Amino acid sequence: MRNTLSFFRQQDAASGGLFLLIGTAFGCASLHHELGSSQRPGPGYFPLVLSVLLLLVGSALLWRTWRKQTPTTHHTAPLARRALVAVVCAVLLFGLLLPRLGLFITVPLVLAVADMAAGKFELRRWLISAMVLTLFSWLVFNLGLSLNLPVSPTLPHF
Amino acid sequence: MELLHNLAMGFETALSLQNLAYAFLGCLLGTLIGVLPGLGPVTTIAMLLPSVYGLDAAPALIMLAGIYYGAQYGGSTTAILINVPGEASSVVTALDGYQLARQGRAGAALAAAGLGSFFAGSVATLALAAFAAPLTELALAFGNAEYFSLMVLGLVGAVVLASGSMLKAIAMVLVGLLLGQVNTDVITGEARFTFGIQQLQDGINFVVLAMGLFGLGEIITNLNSGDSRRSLLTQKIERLWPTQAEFKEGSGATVRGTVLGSILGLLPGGGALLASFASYALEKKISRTPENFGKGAIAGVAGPESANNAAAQTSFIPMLTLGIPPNAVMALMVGAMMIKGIQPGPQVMTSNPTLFWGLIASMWVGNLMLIVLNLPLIGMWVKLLTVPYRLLFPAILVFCCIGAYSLNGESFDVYMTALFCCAGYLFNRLGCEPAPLLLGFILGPMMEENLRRALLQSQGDWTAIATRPISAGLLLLAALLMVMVLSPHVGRKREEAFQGD
Repeated sequence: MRNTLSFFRQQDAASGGLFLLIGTAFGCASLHHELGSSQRPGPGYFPLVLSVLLLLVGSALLWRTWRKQTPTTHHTAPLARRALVAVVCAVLLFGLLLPRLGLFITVPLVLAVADMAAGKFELRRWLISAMVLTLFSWLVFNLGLSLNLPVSPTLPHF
Repeated sequence: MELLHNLAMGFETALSLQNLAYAFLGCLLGTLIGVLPGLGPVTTIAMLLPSVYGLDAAPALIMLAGIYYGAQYGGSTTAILINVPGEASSVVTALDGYQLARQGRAGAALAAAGLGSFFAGSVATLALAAFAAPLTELALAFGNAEYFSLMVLGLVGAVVLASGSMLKAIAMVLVGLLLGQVNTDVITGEARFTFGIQQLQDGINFVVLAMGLFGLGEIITNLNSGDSRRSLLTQKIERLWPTQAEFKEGSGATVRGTVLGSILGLLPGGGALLASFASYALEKKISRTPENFGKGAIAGVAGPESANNAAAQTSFIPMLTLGIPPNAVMALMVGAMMIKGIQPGPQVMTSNPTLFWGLIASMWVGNLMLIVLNLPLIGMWVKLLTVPYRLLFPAILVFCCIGAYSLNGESFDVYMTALFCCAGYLFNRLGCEPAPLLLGFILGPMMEENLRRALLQSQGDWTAIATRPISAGLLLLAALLMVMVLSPHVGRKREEAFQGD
């Protein structure tokens, strides 16, 4: 009896599991809508068909991995926790701060967080890239493309 | 001849100062990202999509197109000079190109790549012009069932020609299709899968999806794989022009590569990458000196480079005439057109003729610009390679964030981008390719609409889709493709072809 955890460490098995999850989620959600019939398909029709297909494929993946005697490809690179967290936090921070604090404050802050994705934080490098990118973004996006991004902090309104 | 008249009109549009400027910008950007590994046309175009809102349709598309085929040119430069392919499709070029460079024949390799690409680009653009009209006429005979089957064929093609596990590619297409279902139902007006979130009522913005999955996800992967110091061939590149003998060697390969690339670019899921691999395999097979391959055969550079450029051009055909994007980049172009309110499909040619022919003409102009940009400016491009990724990726990140925000002036889109960034990383770790997902996502709503209309018309008869002649033919083709790939022999060949990935 193979160890469950090591089974799911295999890429194909984990993918199969993921697809089963997604298929189930969408499938259940599509049942909330009217399915209609083949003659008059409702909003839930197509999503349900797709979800079922996805469940089939996911099961096929799991089955195929189970059947193989030798393990298939495992995860190769180590989990890039640092890079992932840093990038995601940087992006979320941007979304949070831009409308509230404006471009000139947000970009340097976001850059500081992003910088931590790639090793040691160097003050000089951060300062230079913060200045360059903030200025560049302002010039290209606000002036050049007329995007009207907020540049300075907005006073909180209630 | 009508073709000449259309081309004349096209050149009139393409040679306007504004369009020339945007073509140049596109080619410049394209070469730049082609040269820089870790930044590709998909990411760049996704990043630039928000700016399309502010531009007119023709300059926007011209620029984006320039980026795409420009990247093919740029990728070969680094492949040859430092054995680091800037683009996936330049992997093959590096095999012989780098060897040639080490033998002091970098100039010949670069010229072979450049000239071959230009020839291929010109021919392919002509093919595009010539086949556009007949294909469009064919497409006008398409009804809902036919469109549905065509999209099925497109998705099957994308799955079949994708690298890696076919089952996973199919699953990714399905996930993409499902994600495309998050919207307000066209026929009943009900909101689906929106969890009550108002911003999702128009669906997930595909720019957000593209940026998160491709742009940001790629950043994380690149950061993780580390920045290996590459050996730079800094010796001066002499003698840019190839000798008589080298010319002859390369010209046959160029022509063959052009033909091969032009055909493969049409296929859904095909495109530059497949074309370059196929051309290399072909050249090696028919060469009188196959043992030279891998040690510096000019044909091994000229062929693949011509092929990938030709494929990049002809992949516009299914997109412009039928509205079906054959690969991820074209899917983004479809998105760009929809942003400008242009519904891609056979009617584009008749409703926006200046745009259509202008785009085609500007592709030829762009190819010309690229050959000028690339050969003399090689030194400059090489200098750029010394920019460490550490400085590059924050810029990409910031541009993605700004781009996401600028779509609707809403932070929600930025948060969604972060979500898809996680998803992109997850898929990457699980060995699932994101490109089929993007294709499924773009085609999903169209597929559903066509399917439902077809079913309504046929009174619920599913077999009607399979029995109408054109539709049946398309589905048969799709089935054939799948069977072909599932057969063990082809499966092995396919794995071989993607060894280099």
